Amino acid sequence: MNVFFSSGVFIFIIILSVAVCVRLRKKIALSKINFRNSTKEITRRFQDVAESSGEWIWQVDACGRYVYSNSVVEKILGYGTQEVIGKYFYDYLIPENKEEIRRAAFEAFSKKESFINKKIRKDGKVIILETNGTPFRDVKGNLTGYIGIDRDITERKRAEEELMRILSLHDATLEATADGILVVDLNGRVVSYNKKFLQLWKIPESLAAAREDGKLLEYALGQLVNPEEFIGEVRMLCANPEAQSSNTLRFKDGRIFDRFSQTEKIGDKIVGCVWSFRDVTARNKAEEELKSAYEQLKATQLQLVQSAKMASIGLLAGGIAHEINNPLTGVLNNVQLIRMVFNDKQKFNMNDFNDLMDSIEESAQRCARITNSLLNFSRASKGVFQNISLNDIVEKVLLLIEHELSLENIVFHKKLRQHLPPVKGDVQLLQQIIFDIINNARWAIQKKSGKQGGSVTIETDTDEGNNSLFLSIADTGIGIPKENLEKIYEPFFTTKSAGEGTGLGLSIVYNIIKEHGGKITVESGMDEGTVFKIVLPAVAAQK
Amino acid sequence: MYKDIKVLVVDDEKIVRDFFKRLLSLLGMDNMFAENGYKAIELVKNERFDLFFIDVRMPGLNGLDTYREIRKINPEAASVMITGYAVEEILEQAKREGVYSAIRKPFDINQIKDVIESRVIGLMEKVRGGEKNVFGKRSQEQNSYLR
Ligand SMILES: Nc1ncnc2c1ncn2[C@@H]1O[C@H](COP(=O)(O)OP(=O)(O)OP(=O)(O)O)[C@@H](O)[C@H]1O
Ligand SMILES: [Mg+2]
Repeated sequence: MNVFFSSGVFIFIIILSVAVCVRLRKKIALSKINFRNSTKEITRRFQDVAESSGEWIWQVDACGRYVYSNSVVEKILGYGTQEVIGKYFYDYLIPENKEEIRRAAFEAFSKKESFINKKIRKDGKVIILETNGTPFRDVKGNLTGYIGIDRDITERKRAEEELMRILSLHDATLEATADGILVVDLNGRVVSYNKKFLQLWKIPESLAAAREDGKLLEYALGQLVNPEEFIGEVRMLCANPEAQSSNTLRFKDGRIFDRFSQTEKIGDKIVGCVWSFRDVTARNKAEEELKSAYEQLKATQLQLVQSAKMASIGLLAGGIAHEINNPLTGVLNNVQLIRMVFNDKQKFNMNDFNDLMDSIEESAQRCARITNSLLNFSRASKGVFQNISLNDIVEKVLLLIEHELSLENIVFHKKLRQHLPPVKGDVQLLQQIIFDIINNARWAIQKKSGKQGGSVTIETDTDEGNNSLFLSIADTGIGIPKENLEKIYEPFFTTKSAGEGTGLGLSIVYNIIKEHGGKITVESGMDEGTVFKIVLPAVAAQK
Repeated sequence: MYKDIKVLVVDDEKIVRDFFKRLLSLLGMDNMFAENGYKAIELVKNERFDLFFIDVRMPGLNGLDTYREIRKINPEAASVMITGYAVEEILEQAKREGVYSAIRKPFDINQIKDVIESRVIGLMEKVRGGEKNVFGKRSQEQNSYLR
């Protein structure tokens, strides 16, 4: 119902009520029939209008007793018109503040103000009403009662309360987050913020309360290491309000914030932007510490690889001495032989002599090869990745250990695919993995067959597209029980007795392969022998 | 001078066998070769030898085991262990078990010649009935290597 109509009705009521009240005071005995008739007419018309209004219109006497009510009362209070006539208006007020409201009501009536009150319906439900009333006087000016309107505002109040509840929930949420939050409108003006925002940015309450965006920004920028960058971000966001962005802010006092921004929309319309700031100084510090710990670990690992290698060289000493002293025999003793022949003034058959020279040369070359691969193997890794041949690496490692293992009757089968694409890697590290795996194979074979020995099969291959290289190393050893298969790459996992193994071999292998962007898998079972398969990315062929 | 002496060299390394072949031929000695212990045993079963050169580290049967087997068949021959890498315990053990001498690779040719000579002397003394004096003066020196 619109206000204009309501107030129209109200004025009409006042006019008509004069007549109505006159009629009610029969003691005053207005005797003129005409007047009486017209009074009756006016009352009827007032009541017609009152009835047609959607609001509850009433009249009470000076004590507040209903003398008239339109039928809307039934809709609002549940009582019929006849039921309320003769009752006091405050009879229906909720008991809690009945007396207070009663007094306030008369005061409001005299001031012609509205007041809010709660009444109890016939069905017991409490409703909220907005009551408007005005004093009503007789011709002599004596107060005879009040007339007025009650409007049911229960729904409106509930909606308001719900809104308040949501707003306070919203406020509480805003305050409860660990992040500092700032809401700005499309023009970049501050709309709202939480306390955490002020704390994080160390903004004094007074400055915040002043709501001068320029000063606030200036104050904030003064704390940043790189304010220009931040301003750039702000501009970018103003230009692209749709953009969701985040970055890191560095403060002069060493603190670091993560900043996120998210557009605020009503429906589809962007109305502003929510910025949130999180102090990540501690987290960053933890991350940095973690990173440096990781770097240290990596360095330690390289050292570990190196000492493992040196230890394996010790292990190989016998084999290497053997490997070098045999060809040295071919050099030194053959030379001594020549001298002996000359000293004895014996004659050399030219063919024999050439044979001898070939033998010396070949032996010397073998010495050189061994020394080189030994040097190569023992050199510490520089962590330099270059294009290398996988077959070459296999051959070099075998050169060092093949003979040693042959003493234990371990035979090598090589199936090296020719013309493999190169792999980008570190020679020392890749040698180390082959060495470690073969060393494990040696142990496993020994464990299974003792002096009988066994075989180790080394295969290299490539996929059709020359994208990956495969290296597989299979042994005929005792195998790995299924329940251990997942653990073998763990550092310090070993089934060997103390002094036999530290359990580091395969963990180093695993890390080296990971560093090369490769993968290692194992197939084995108790008494089945073991196959380690390694996949390494190939260096793409030059076009 | 060495013509009557028959030598068997057991070594898996061709280089070493080739060298011995040249040397022994130059010295005019009867020589035979085996590339592993099993083959050596087969040869010894068919022929008598006076002197063995046996590599310590060999695939299959190692030098010491080869020596043990050969001695069973051909006990009067002298055995010389040759080694590229001496594991002291093995050489000590070999000495205890009666190995005549041990020499390292790469060799000193004179050392080999000395061993052969002392063996020849030993054999000659044996022919004269001086069984006790199998280890001649030089072979005593050789033996000192084992200590
Ligand atoms: N080829 C294999 N056959 C059977 N078992 C194996 C094989 N390779 C590895 N293992 C098992 O995995 C365990 C872990 O191997 P890893 O190389 O990591 O350490 P380790 O060989 O015990 O010690 P280290 O390598 O430090 O000397 C071994 O103890 C063994 O039980
Ligand atoms: Mg290992």
